[in-house]
Amino acid sequence: MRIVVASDPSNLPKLVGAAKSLSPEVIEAISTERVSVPVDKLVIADLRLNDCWTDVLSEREFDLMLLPSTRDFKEVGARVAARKGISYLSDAQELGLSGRLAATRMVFSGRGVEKLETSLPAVVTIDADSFEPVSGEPSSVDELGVSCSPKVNLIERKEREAEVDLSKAEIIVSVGRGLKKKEDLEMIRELASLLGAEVACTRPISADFKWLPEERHVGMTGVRVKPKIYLAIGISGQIQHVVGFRDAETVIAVNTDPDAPISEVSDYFVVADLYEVVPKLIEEIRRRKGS
Amino acid sequence: MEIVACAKLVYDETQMPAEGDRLLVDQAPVKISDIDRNAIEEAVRIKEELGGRVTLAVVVTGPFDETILKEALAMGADRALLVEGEIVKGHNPYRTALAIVKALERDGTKPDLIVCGEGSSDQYSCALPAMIAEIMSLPVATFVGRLEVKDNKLIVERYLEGGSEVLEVPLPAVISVTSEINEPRIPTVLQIMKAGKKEKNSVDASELDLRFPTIDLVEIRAYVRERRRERIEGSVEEVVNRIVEVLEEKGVIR
Ligand SMILES: Cc1cc2nc3c(=O)[nH]c(=O)nc-3n(C[C@H](O)[C@H](O)[C@H](O)COP(=O)(O)OP(=O)(O)OC[C@H]3O[C@@H](n4cnc5c(N)ncnc54)[C@H](O)[C@@H]3O)c2cc1C
Ligand SMILES: Nc1ncnc2c1ncn2[C@@H]1O[C@H](COP(=O)(O)O)[C@@H](O)[C@H]1O
Repeated sequence: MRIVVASDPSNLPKLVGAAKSLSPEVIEAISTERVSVPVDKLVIADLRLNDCWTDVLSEREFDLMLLPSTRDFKEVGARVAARKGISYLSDAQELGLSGRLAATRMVFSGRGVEKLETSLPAVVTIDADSFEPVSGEPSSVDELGVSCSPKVNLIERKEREAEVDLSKAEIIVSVGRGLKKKEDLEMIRELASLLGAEVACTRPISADFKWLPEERHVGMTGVRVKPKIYLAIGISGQIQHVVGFRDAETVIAVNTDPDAPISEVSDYFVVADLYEVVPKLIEEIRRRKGS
Repeated sequence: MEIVACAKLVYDETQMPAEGDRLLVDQAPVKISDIDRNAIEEAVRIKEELGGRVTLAVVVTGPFDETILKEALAMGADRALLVEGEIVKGHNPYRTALAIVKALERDGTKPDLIVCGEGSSDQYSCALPAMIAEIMSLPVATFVGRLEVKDNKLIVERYLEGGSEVLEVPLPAVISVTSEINEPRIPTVLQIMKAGKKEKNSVDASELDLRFPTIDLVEIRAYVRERRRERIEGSVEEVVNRIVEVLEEKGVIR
């Protein structure tokens, strides 16, 4: 059994962890930088475009190829599998191997969990956060010169430094479209700071309104969080958002709609207007802290 | 422009009942996969700007509902290409991609542009557009949140986790779009009724000579996580006091 793992440097340790859990004879890793991971061979290649990743990865020999479930690698993984005409599974949260490959993954936006089986060779993208990272030194390191003729032309790349990693936050105050305007984020920030919490949001707040950066959006296409307290303010509780916080220890929701779906998935469901509750809550916490 | 919009009909996960951990999948109503509405909208907008026609390509991998298909057509597509048959049932993106490519060939459609959604609302594997592109040896851009057509080329902005990427993509090409790209139109009842008259070409998958590795669904269950579900109502003072009490209990405020 030969596993090839390819990833951006940050996800590589978790991918190698996933590969190790299947006890293969050989693990080869491919990344753009040197990373301390315990693999048989680490190949460093200056790969930027998905076209080039696809060319290079399709040339490798493997029984199983593991990639992270990022937007770029989901494209690359699907392409490598299609080019070779082999099996492809995405977003695996658990992997098993007994002749055939088994993977569990979310379906219906997280409403369900399914278990799939397929034959090797296969390409699989994995939900990196479901696996433990490993560290160590590669037995050998190789640099790969890349010559590739992409079908598309790169015009510009805009990279944004993430300001926070919400997956590690202990307390989270999260807002949704119940908030009427960007300026009202101030009171949410104030509440968060009093609680020592991070501010998070639903996808419309970051993607459509751009009131907060993308890495603060929780859910299926955003971050998965597991804080002690998740305080959801003005959030309806659509399944794509709920999957992001359902491992929270305690969920408190504030919503004016007594039938909002979030009532079903919270421990404490407060039926109230956030514009009344939040200022009063700030005042009350201040008062208690002061005394 | 010969444009193909790919759309999937799926069970609506927001209205899917469960009994314990048993997920009652087929009791949910059928809908157009959410982001495929954006894909159809984008295809129709490009046609409206540059002329041509839009073929709606649907492989019946799951549920089917004639009215929902008509609703998709009523958004402005000119015709439908439908692939049906037992062998395309279930989740297998490579098989679905092959089915679309072969059905287009048989239909005599040579697309300049194929538009998909970023991912389907039931599977979200985001695989199909990438696979269609590979099978047809076409350039591909996935997760496109902004698009411009310029002299037989697309200028697209891909929306990624840590930023974005602007690419120039020569046509013919395959793209997948994110929900930020546009606001899908909602067809009127009259438009939906009239869409029944649009051309429809149904292809039986067994005639397409599909060869693919199989994927078996071993098990599916509902995700269950029990919560306390205490309802807090009353005056602002009352609810705030209860929230503070809970926060104190949990050691968040001392
Ligand atoms: C493929 C796909 C992926 C997606 N991924 C994600 C994801 O990762 N994360 C995500 O968040 N979403 C995601 N979405 C979007 C998701 O389906 C919902 O549209 C979104 O989560 C809704 O956000 P919201 O709760 O802020 O807004 P709404 O659904 O509009 O809810 C606003 C809520 O605020 C309440 N409210 C209004 N005024 C007040 C007030 N004064 N006080 C208190 N409450 C008030 C309302 O009663 C309502 O319940 C995805 C969608 C798709 C199709
Ligand atoms: N059965 C299908 N018929 C037509 N288009 C599909 C089908 N399945 C997926 N697609 C298209 O491919 C996109 C990605 O789907 P998926 O790979 O399932 O996440 C969807 O948004 C659709 O545009």
